[in-house]
Amino acid sequence: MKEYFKSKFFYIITVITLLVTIVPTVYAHMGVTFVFRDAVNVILTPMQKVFNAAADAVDGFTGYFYKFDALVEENAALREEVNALQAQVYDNRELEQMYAWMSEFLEMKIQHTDFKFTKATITGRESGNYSSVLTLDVGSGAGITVGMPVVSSQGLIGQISEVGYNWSRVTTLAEAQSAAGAYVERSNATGIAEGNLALAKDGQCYLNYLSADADIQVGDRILTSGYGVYPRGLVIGYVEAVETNPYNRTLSAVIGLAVPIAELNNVMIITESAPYAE
Amino acid sequence: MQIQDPQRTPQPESFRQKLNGWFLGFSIEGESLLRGVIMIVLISLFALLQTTLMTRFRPFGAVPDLMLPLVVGIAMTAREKWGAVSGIIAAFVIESLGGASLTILPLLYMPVGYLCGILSIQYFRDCFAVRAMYTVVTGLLRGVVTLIILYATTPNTSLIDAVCVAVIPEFFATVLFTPLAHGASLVFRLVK
Repeated sequence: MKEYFKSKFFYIITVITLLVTIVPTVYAHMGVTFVFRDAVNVILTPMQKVFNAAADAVDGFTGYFYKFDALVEENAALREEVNALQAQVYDNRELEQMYAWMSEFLEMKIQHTDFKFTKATITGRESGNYSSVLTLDVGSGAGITVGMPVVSSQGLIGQISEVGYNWSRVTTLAEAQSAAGAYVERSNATGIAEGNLALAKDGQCYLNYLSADADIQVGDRILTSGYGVYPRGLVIGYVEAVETNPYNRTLSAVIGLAVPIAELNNVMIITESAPYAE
Repeated sequence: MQIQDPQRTPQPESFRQKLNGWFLGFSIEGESLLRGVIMIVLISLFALLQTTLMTRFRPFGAVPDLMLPLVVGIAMTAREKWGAVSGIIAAFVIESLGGASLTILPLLYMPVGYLCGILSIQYFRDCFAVRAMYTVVTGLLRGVVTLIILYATTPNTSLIDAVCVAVIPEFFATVLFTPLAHGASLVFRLVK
């Protein structure tokens, strides 16, 4: 067996392995996309779209089996909702809801006249279980650059962390390394929203560094403060629990993120926004 | 006067023969080209499955690693050289698609592919028990690598969180889809 580890093949393949390990890592830390990595993405990202379409179709079919319990609950809830809607039909509430849904992005544009958007479709998601990363179908060819905020009509998703010609990667706010300046809409108490591995799977993150006397309660809406890469006023989520840190007397809050990332198909990238001035 | 027998006179090696002998020991015959194409197609297909379908369904709450069992399957079917090469390519493709900033999987996949191929020749006959053993051992190694990546990217994560949220679900999800990867790698047996 020793001869296998003294062969020319083994030496060469070991050197190649080290190069394939070291070079992309160094490039990534320099903020540059390795050319072969870009090539792989340029070729396979369009195919990911096809696979995602197939996944939608399969999900629709198999969902009847593996989501059975959830569907039963959903069915019961929907029946109640239908009853309620029938009672309200003369109030035109249904029409109002439809209008509200259609005007969600319009509302964001009216609130933030400085925003310029580029629409993108999610073609892929994280390949491992330690990160919350999305792949989009637009890249530098559409003017996308690293650091641009990504939103849906419900609120903030994350920021662009890597860009190729026709693809880009979004690191979500749920990702453990992510952070965003944030404030409580009701009381203006400020803190930093930070991703956390344990909370990410439930679509939550922490709001840390709140002062001990900060006015915050469950249900409060949390928005971006404008410090850092995110423009002011994007909805991060809603407070689900408030905790006191016993060591430094500061408060932390668990935030339920406003955007259900697992259900997203389309997002908007904010390509331009006016800098925040207090 | 000596008369040389033309049949016994050593003929100079052709360029192709030299290339075959030197270039990683692979021949550039049609069989190898076909195997290379099959390998690229399989790796691309499984990488796409892993980054699209599997991220949606998340069996056991985790995305399975489809590439590692595929590399093991290729190594057992096509031997150590193909195992090692497929290991490097599979690792590079999935790291590229997955968006990881720390590239570490080639250090796992290449040795696993090479070693599985050697063990299949030297010690273990291809059977269900051996494949099951490879699945468990490589799954554990993958867990270790996941922990390394996790701590390199998010050092403040607790070990219990890391094991419960990432490693254990990933292990079982990977085991669940291992037969698919091993089955796909049997395509190599068609190439004679």
